[in-house]
Amino acid sequence: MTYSPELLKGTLKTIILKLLADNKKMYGYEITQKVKELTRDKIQITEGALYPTLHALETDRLVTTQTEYIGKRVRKYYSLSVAGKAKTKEKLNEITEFINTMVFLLDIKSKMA
Amino acid sequence: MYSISDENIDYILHDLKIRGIETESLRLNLLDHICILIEENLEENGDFEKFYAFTIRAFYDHELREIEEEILLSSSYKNKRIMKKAMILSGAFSAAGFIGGSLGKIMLFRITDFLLFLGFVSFVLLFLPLVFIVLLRELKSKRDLIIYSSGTLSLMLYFVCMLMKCLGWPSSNLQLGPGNLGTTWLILWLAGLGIGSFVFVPSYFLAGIRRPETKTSTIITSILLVAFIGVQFRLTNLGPIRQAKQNTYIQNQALPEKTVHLASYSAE
Repeated sequence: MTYSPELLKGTLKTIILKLLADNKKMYGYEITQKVKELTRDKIQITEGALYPTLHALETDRLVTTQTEYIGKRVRKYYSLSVAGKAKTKEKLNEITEFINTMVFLLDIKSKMA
Repeated sequence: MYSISDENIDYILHDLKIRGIETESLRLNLLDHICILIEENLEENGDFEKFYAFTIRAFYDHELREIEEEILLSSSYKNKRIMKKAMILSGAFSAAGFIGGSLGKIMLFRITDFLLFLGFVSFVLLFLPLVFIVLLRELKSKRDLIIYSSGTLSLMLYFVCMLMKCLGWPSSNLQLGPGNLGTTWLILWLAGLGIGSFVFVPSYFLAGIRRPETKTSTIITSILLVAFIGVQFRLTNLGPIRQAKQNTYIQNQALPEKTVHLASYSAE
């Protein structure tokens, strides 16, 4: 089962920030593969969602970039900036609270029990 | 495993452009992503074009331009684009002022000073601050901040002094100095040259020389900058105005009296 893009849309920034916090530097394709691997294919980030998000993080200066030439093509590595590290903590706290609220709101615990 | 050739890369880049991917960083990101997918999934003697068409189709719902549009719609990117446009417009405006002023000087038009004034003012008050803000947004280290701020400040001071000089406030001869344009002007001029030579050039040189890809261009640019600043400093007259010039002025003042005296002598 894969999750719907609508469900993932609000959490994509947090996912990318957390991955960059755990790994020193990553490039686009690597991020998609890592997410697939960690979630056992349950979450598949599309290219159409990934690159606008990475671009937005870069414009907001939450990530810094480094380029590497592989022959004629360029690989862009992303890593967290100082502001990005602080933002990651903030986003993780936010999503933890959100999940707790949803669990309470949808009465998931009692249903699971 | 398929090995991507330079022709394949040109083909992909061309196709991405045709499909409406204008932002360079996005185009390069997509290129790398597609290349990896092809290299990992296409057989050695596989049909590149067919596999590429199949791969790219998975990137969008209706058309590839959707990704580009999503980036363009984000508000922070919008601000960045507006800032860049304003920077280019103000730069073009000041360049037009400089060119118009220079042509006017050749043609001896009266509007020259006004055009030069507009060119200088838009360059110093609009273009340079906008360049600084745009560069600041792409800041990567503290050294970059030193390079950008010292470079901008040095250029601003240089152009303010040049404006005063071009408009002859109050004199416009080649020998610059406290006697000609005043102590304030000299302080601004020397501050501009000082920041340029002792802060900007060394930090620019040290940052560029460490990267193999920018080493040669950094050395050449640094030499040109040192030469330029050196010539500007050479043109600066640090001492008082020479006595001989004042004598010449006094002598010239006395000339009509002498001429009258000589004329009356010859008449006798």
